[in-house]
Amino acid sequence: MRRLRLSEWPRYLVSIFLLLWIVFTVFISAWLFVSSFKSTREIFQGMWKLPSKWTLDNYVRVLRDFGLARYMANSLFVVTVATLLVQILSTPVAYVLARLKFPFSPFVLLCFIAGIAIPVQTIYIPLYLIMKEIALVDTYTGIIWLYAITSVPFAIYLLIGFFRSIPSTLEEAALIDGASAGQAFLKIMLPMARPGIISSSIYVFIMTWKEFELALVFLSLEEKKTLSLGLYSLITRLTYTGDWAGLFAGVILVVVPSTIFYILVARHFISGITAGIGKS
Amino acid sequence: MDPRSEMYKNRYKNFILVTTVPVFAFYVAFMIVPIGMSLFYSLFDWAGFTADMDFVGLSNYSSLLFKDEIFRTTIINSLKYVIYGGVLIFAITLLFTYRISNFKSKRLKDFIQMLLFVPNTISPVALGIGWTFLLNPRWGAVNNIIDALGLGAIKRPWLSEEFIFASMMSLLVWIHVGFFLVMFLAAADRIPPSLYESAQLDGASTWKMFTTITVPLVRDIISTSVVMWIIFSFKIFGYIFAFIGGAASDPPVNIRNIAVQLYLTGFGKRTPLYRLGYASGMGIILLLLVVLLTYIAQRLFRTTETLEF
Repeated sequence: MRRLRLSEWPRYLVSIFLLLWIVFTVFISAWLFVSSFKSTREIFQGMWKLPSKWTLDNYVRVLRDFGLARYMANSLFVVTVATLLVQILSTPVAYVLARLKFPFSPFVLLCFIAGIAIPVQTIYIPLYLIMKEIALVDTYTGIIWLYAITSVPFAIYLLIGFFRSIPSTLEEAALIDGASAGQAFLKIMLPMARPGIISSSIYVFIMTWKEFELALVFLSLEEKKTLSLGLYSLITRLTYTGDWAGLFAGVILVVVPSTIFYILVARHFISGITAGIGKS
Repeated sequence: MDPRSEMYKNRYKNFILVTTVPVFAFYVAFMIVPIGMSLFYSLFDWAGFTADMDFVGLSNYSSLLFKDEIFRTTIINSLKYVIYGGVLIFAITLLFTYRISNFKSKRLKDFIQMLLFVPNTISPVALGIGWTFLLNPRWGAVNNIIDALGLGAIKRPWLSEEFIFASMMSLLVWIHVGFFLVMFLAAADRIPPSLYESAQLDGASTWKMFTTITVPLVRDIISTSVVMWIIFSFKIFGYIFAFIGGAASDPPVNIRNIAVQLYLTGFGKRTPLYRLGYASGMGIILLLLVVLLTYIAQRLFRTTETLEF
């Protein structure tokens, strides 16, 4: 065993704090999970008792009767298409901005990067008018498009970091051999930037999956709602009927899939994000 | 690639024309032009998407800044979120970075990082409502735990007017420490171990090494993170919206920020207001605050840097 050293007291103190933080996080997750199997009455009776019987009643109710399954399917569709669209739009642009100089290129870059800071609420009202004008309010196309265009700035920011880190010799060789710019991009740069594209896709996927404020304004039809928005309307309906147990199950159903997805991709994600941010 | 070479320039022209130009045009049309439109609308009294617009000059702004007490509260709340939240988040993140970067086991390091990041991947609505379950004064986990530890005296009605802001803040801190920890740890990992070796020989404590070696060297990422936090925090919406099961009524004024107030004014919820010109003014103020604070933060970091080196 290592000897306790007086000069190391900050480390011991922070260890305790960190441990408490972790225990708290794990404990409340477990509490939410266990409670989601209880009846509302059992939830009110306090947290220390386990559910009298472990049934999936709450889950079946919110998934089927309250349409959470539908919301999930909607989100999966909208978010997948939006993520693909973001990559298609931003990857070539990031490549161009990372590698080439053309008139106004610093200005274009600056505009895109500044977009990261624009709060979506600032443009709520004009966007609503524009989307109404082109008949995209309350449509999948509309929300997909909004997710894509609002994610483009950050995706470009991340991808530029990656493109800058790729050596240019291969690309130059291809150009000397007479490849077109499109060929050099598709055949040489794209494969090399794959880790960057994967991590920016994951980032966009996760951020769009949990998105709420755009959906709130641009989707009002029950059958088109995404998961965050659907959970919100579930809250409205379940608090009126006092069905807290159902709400616990709803929360778990929202939390668990994204957590599992995140754990599966965490390695790519963390290294990708930090590498991209560090470099640009 | 030599960007000045004529041959490449020509070959890239079409590529730029078909990729960058349209994306930039869409981006400008959907994100930059609307800012101008907001600015324009904010000069009008405009009671709904179909109503007429009356030009009122800057009177929306003077009402917002000098008359509207609810809006003033939401500005203060936004500033409290960014400042108090920022201080707490970065203090805790630094402490955790200190401890975790001293872990020998890479696996444990990765595991803790991953665990603390998880809240950042979850729907804000789920977290907002989940946190209110946790803090429910009657059957929530927090008061139950306090009871079990025999500390009944520190039990509080966490969702009452008095404590609700602190409760909201605790959620935001809990979430974002995990986010910035990932960035700080990655930066700390890039510091070459040789830098610590001589300090170690001199018998420096881990804390001393952290403050004299690690912190100055991760300064860049700290300043990037502060800017990111400013941007994040002004946009915070779903957490506040879903707090206290929010759906039964509008979110309480005590926790509302500008973003939420803007939505309520423009699109309403329980009581639709549809004051579009007025809400546009809020949007412009929101944007200006983000820009101003980002600028101040960057200045702050830059000046300390020149003083030190």
